[in-house]
Amino acid sequence: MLPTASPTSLTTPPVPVQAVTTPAVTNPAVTNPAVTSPAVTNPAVAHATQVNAPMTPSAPEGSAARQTEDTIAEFANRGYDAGFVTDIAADSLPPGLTEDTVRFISAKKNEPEWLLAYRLKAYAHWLTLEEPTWAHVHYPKIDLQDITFYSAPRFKEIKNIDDLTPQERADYDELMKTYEKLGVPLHERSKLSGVAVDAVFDSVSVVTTFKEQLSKVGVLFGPLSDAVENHPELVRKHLGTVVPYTDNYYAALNAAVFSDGSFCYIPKGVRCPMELSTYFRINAAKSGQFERTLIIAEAGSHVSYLEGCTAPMRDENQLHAAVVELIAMDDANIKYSTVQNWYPGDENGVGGIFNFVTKRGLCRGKNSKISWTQVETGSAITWKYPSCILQGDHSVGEFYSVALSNNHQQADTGTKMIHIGKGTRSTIVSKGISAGHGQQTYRGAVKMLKSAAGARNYTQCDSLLMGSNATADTVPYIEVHNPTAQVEHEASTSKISDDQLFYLMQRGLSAEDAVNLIVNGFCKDVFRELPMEFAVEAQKLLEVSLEGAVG
Amino acid sequence: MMLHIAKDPQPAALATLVERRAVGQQRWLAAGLPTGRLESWKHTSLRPMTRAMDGVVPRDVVPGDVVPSGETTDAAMPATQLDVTPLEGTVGTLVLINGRLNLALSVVPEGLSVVDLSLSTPDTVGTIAPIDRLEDALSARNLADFDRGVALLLDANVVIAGPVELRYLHDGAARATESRSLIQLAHHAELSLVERHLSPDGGVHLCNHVVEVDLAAGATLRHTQVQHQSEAAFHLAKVAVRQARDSRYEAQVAQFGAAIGRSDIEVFLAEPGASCQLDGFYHGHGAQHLDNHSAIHHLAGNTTSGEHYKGVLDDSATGIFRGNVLIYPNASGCATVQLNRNLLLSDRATVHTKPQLEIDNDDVTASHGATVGQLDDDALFYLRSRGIPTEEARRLLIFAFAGEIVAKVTLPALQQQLRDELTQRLAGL
Repeated sequence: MLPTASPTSLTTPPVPVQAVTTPAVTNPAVTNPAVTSPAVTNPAVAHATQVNAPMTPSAPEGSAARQTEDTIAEFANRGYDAGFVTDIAADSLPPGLTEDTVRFISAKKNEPEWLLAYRLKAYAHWLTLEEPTWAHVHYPKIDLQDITFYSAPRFKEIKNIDDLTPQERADYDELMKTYEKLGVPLHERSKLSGVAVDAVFDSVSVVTTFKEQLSKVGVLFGPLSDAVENHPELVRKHLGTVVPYTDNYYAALNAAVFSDGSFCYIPKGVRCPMELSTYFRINAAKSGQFERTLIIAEAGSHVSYLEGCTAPMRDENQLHAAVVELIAMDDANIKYSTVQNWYPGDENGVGGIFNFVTKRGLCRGKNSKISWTQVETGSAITWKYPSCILQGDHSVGEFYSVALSNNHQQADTGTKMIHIGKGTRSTIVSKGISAGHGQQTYRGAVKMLKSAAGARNYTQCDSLLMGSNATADTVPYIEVHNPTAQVEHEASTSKISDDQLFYLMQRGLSAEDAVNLIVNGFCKDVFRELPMEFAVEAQKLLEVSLEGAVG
Repeated sequence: MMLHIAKDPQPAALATLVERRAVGQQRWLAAGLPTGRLESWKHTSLRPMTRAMDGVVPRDVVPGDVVPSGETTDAAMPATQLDVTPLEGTVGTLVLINGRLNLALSVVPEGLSVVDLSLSTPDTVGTIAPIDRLEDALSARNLADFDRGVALLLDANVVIAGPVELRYLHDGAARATESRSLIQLAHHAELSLVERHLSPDGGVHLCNHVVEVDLAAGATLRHTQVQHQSEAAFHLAKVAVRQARDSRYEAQVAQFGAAIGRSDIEVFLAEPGASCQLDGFYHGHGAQHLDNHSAIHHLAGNTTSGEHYKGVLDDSATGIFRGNVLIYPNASGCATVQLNRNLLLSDRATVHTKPQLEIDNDDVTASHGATVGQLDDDALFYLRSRGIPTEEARRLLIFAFAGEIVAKVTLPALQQQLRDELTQRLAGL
C-alpha cells in the first residue's frame, strides 16, 4: 500500500455516531445462517408501472417551447429495457451481515485461510467505521441487515452442464437467454467474437468465454474465485494493494463480503488479443452485489477491458458496492471502459441501484498508462471516483466521463489523480448532463506531490443542464506541492439554448433529433475514447436515458 | 444544496443586538475554533495561532465575560509608529488603533456619517454576516464579543468624491481584538473604501475582524482590502455583503502579511441586477499561510458575479483559494466567471485551490478555471534572449502576473505602494 496515496482524503472525518436502525427482518422464518434455497419468485414489482407523470409543462400550450418540453417528456419516458427479472432457482443467504456471513461466503468458495483472515480483518475494521455522508447525494439510510450478501444461481455448483437436473438445465437456459436479451455475447461462436466476456450474475461469475484462446497467450481471465483457487500467489500478492480495506467504508465492506468478480492477468509483453469484458447483472431481490475486480498488467503488456451492468426494475433500492483495482507495471497500458446502466429508478425516483464503487488504478511502473472511460447513465445514485495513482515516472492517467442524471437520479462522481512520479501526466474530461430533477456533482482531486517534478494535469469539466429543476455542481480540489508541476482546470455550465435548438430545427431536424445531436456533440470527447461497440451502445443509451430533458 | 440560507438573511423582526450577541455566544460555544474537520477549514489549521496566542485567546468564553481586549491601553502605541499620513488622493482617513477608532487622528469627509462602535452600536450591526452557519463560528464569536470598530453610513444619492481609507494599526502586544465594521449605503450612494491592516511594530497579535456591507438599490461600493500585518500576526477577516437591486460591489484584496491570513468574503446577491466583482492577489513567503475564501450567493435572477484571484507562493508558504458560487433554483439568467491562477516559486511552497460551482438553475452561464504552475520557460527564454538577466526576467514575469490584479486598484498612490511592496518582496529572488 502506498502511504502517499492518502486513501482517506476523500473520506469524511468521523461524524457523531448515528444509531444503526435495527433491521426490520422481512423473512423471520429464515433464522439459520445456513443457505436456504428458495426459488426466487418473480417479485410483484417486476416492472415499475409506467405512470406517465410528466412534468407540469410550464410553457403555454402550442408554443415552440412547449413542443420542446413535450418532445423531451416523451423522449424521457421510453423506459428501461433491461428491467426484467430472470426466474431461476438460486442459493441465497438470508439477509443480514455478521461475522458468520463473512465466514460463510469464504467457506462457500473454499477459500484459503489467508483470504478468510483478510476478510475478517476487513470486517473487524468495517465495524469501526461510520457510513460516510459527505457526498452530495441524499438517500434513506441503507439497512445492511436487510440485504442478502450472497445469492447465486443454484446450478453453478455443478461444474458439468450434463450433470444438471432438468430444472437446473432449464435455469441455465433461462440464464443464457437473459444475457442474450441483454445483448451480451456468451456464445463463443457469436459474431461479436472480438470480446471475451465474464458474466457475473448476482454474487457469482457464471460464464467466461474465450478462456482457452486467451490462455494460449498466457492471459488469465475469469472469475476471481477461480484465480484464488488456481493462482493464489498472484491474488495474494496484489489483492488490496491499490484499494486497501482501510480505504473507506464501502471498500472495507466489500473486502469483507466480496463474492466474486473478474480477475485478469496479462503477462509480460503480451498485447491481449481481444477486448476483455465483464457483464454485471443483479437479479435477486433484496440482494447487494459486492464484486471485486483485479487487473494486473505486467511490464509492456496491453489490455482493454469493458464493463457493463444492468439490473431489474424494482421499487426498492439495491446496493452495489464493488471494488476495482488495476495495476500497471513498466510500459503497461490498461484501458478500462464502463457503460453503467443499472436500473435508475422510475420517474418519481422510486427504486434503482445505489452504485457506491471504489475504483482505483496504480501506475506502478515507468511509462505505464491507465485510462478510465465511463458512461454513467443508470443507477439511482452514482457515487464513485475512478482514480489513478501515478507512481511510476512518466506514467499517464486518463479519465473520460459522461454522467447523465435524469428524473431523480443523483451522481457524485469524478476522479482523483495523484501524481507521485516525475513527469507524470493526467487528463480529465468530464461531461455531466443533468435533466429533470437530476442532480450532478463533479468532484475531483488533483494532487501533485513533492516528488512529481514536471508533472502535468489538464482538467475540463462541463455541465449541461436541461430543465429548471436540474442541478450541477463542480467541486475540484487541486493541491500542488511541486513548482514544476502544471495544473489547469476549466469548467463551464450551460444549458441547451433555444437558439441552438431553433437553428437545428429550422434545418429540418425534429426537436428530439436536435437535442440528441447537441448532447452527442457535448459528449463527443468522451465517446471518442470508448471502444467502438461501446461507443455505439453509449450513444443509444444516452438517447434513451435523456428523457424530458430540454427546457 | 445549501438552501438553509434564508433568501433574505436579515431577520424579519430585528432582534436586539443584545439578543443577537447571545445567539452568537451560544453558536461560538457550541462550535468552538474551526478545525480541519470543516470543509472550509480543511487546509488551514489554527493550531499555530492558539499556540502563539496561548493565554490570550480564551478557548471558552462564558456569557457575560469581558473579553481580554476590553482594556483601554490602545493609545499606548508609540507616536513614532503612528503613521497617519493620508494616502495621496484620498479624501478622508479614519485611523483605528487595535481596531478602536481614534477620531483625533482621523479626517472624516463631508457627507459620511461615522459611528464609533466602541461607544454606541446601532442595532443594525450583526445582521448580515449570517451566524446560522456552523462553519462561521468566528463571526459568531465576533458578534458576541466585538467591542470596537466603526460604522460608516451614507445617505441616499450621496457620492463621496474620492476614496476614504480605514487604516487599522495593530500593535504587537500579543493582544486579541474582536473588531467589526458596518458599511451601509442607502440607495444610489457611492463610496470607494480602502481598508488597510498594518502592524508597524511587527509583533504578535490576533485580529478577528468582521465587515458587514449593506448596499441598497443602485448603491456602489469599491472596497480595497490590504492585509499587510506583521508576519507573526494572525488575521482572520470575514466580509459579508448584502446587495439590493442593481447595486455593485467591487473588492480588491491584497494579502501580503500575517503568519496565518484568512480573507473570507461572502456576497449575497439578493435582488435582480446586483453584481459583484472580487479580485485578489496573495504573495506568501517564509512560512506564511494565506487563505482566500469566498462564497457568492446568487439568490435572485439576472445577477452577475466575477472573481479573479492570483497567488504567488515562495519558500514554504501555503496559498489557498476556495471560491464557491451558488446559483439558487429561482435565479434565472445569472452569469458568473471565476478564475484562480497560481505561481509556485519554490519546491516547498504549496497551493490548494478549489473553485466550486453549485448550480440549481439551468438558465445560467457559469465557468470557472484554475491553474497552478511555474513561470513559462518560453517567456523566460524570450526575455533572456533580449539580454535580460534570468533573475530580472523572472521578476518581470512575476510582476506582470501580479500586475493584472494590482491594476484593478483604482487609487494610483495605493497601486504604486503595492507595486513597491511587491518589488521589495521579489528583490531577494
